[in-house]
Amino acid sequence: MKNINKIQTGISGLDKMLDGGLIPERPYIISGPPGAGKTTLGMQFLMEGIRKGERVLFIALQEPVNEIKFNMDSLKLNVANIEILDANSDVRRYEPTPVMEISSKSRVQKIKNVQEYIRKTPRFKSTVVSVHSLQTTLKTEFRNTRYGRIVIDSLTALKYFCMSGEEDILLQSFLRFLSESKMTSLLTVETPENYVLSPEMFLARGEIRLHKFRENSRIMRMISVEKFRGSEHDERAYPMEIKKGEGVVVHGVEEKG
Amino acid sequence: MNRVSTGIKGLDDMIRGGLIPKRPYAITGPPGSGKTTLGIHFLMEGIRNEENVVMVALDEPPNEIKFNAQAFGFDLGDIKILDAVPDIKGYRRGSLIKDVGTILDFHTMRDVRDIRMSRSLRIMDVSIHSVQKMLRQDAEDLYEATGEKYSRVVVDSMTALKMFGMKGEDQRILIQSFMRFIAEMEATCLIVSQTPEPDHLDTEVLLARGEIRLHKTKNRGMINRGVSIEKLRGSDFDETIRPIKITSKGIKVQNGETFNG
Repeated sequence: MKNINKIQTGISGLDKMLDGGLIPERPYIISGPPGAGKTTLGMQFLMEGIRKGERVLFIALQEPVNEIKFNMDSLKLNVANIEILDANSDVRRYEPTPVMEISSKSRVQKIKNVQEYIRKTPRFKSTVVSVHSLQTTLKTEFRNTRYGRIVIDSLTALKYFCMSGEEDILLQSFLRFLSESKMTSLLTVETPENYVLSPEMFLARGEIRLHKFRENSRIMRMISVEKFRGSEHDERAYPMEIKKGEGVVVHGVEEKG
Repeated sequence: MNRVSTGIKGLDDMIRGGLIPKRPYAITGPPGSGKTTLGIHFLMEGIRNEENVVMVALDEPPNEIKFNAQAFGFDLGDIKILDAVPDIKGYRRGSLIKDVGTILDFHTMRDVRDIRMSRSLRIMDVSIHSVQKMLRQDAEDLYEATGEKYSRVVVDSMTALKMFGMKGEDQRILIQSFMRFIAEMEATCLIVSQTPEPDHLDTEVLLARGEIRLHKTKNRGMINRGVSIEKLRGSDFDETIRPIKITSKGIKVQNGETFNG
């Protein structure tokens, strides 16, 4: 296995847990409850790509891009050169007015160029994002640019807001599309406080799980690798924290001898 | 970046000064844990700063909210209120159901007296769409009249809106759209909701940029109350559950102590 070139996640403790890093060109799941650090981990993964001279893309489905920029700035993470696609749907209209699919209008931009205010729904037409339109947008985008890494934040939002019916089949097909695009992708999945297994967990080649629970009324954070096809991995959970200027930091992992 | 005070000093201390403005937050907790009271604190703080604030009442009739708040010495007079509590349902065949959005006006709390009576011929119903339409219309009227925007909104509660305001449509998509609408209003918004079930992911909590959770437990006949921050995007926060007391002046956080359930 050592002859495979692995790619680093940008978090040294996690790379050690992954026996050197992720196997490239595959999709992986980052799961965890709200506020566990999934988005931050995704950003660190992309920042590592930039350090290696790759083009990297963040696809925002759950939060307005201006807020993502603000949140990362307040964590003092340098995300300026990460490219971002705003795939948030507009406010829905209930009157019969034209609905535009996101593929016709959204463009990739660098985070440093994201404006300070939220994009407003135009008066007479709304843009909606469906899994189909997102796939079309990405297909066009990938034809022009070779991205090394992408983050989809979140797969939960894609499932909840961008498809109606047949979720599992559509998710399967979307993950297949990502694999065929030959990019290493991280997909965040929001879990309830008590972990519940959902079908997309079976589809990815690996799952990194973030844990957040209370002990003596204080929040504790841990990280574990639940599944990693084609590689050895550390099976223990390790304590982690989210630090200003660094992001997710994993403690106590020892180098394998 | 200026933070927005919640109106409760001890809670502001837990979130490093206040909420990040122009975002929606979830206030969760079991019945009787103080969610509405927290919402009133937040709106009264806006009134003190001469801001425009509005409450969307879906759970309790405004006259009761007003009465209950008097116990804490709050004068709600200047708070705008949208009475979106649905009427008694008419079961007679052919009775006309009107969307609440088409008839009801906004009031200020000052004008709220008695419970609004259901009309005998037309029943008013509430949908997430009508609430959204009214908020939009009212915000536009306010802007035309004064050039100002609403800076604080409380929706009390999303649980009620989900129960009777979203029939036969995809609930998740409706909530996503409503939260987007709220974010585009650029007001700081508190959305009251029941505590999420540990096995379930509530859309409004998923999309909220932060969650303030109220706790209420019984121990040997005594009620214990607490408050915690479950998530807060773009800020660090006090990660311990703190006990709270409900006094004659409202909610008071005991910052130095730990809530033990």
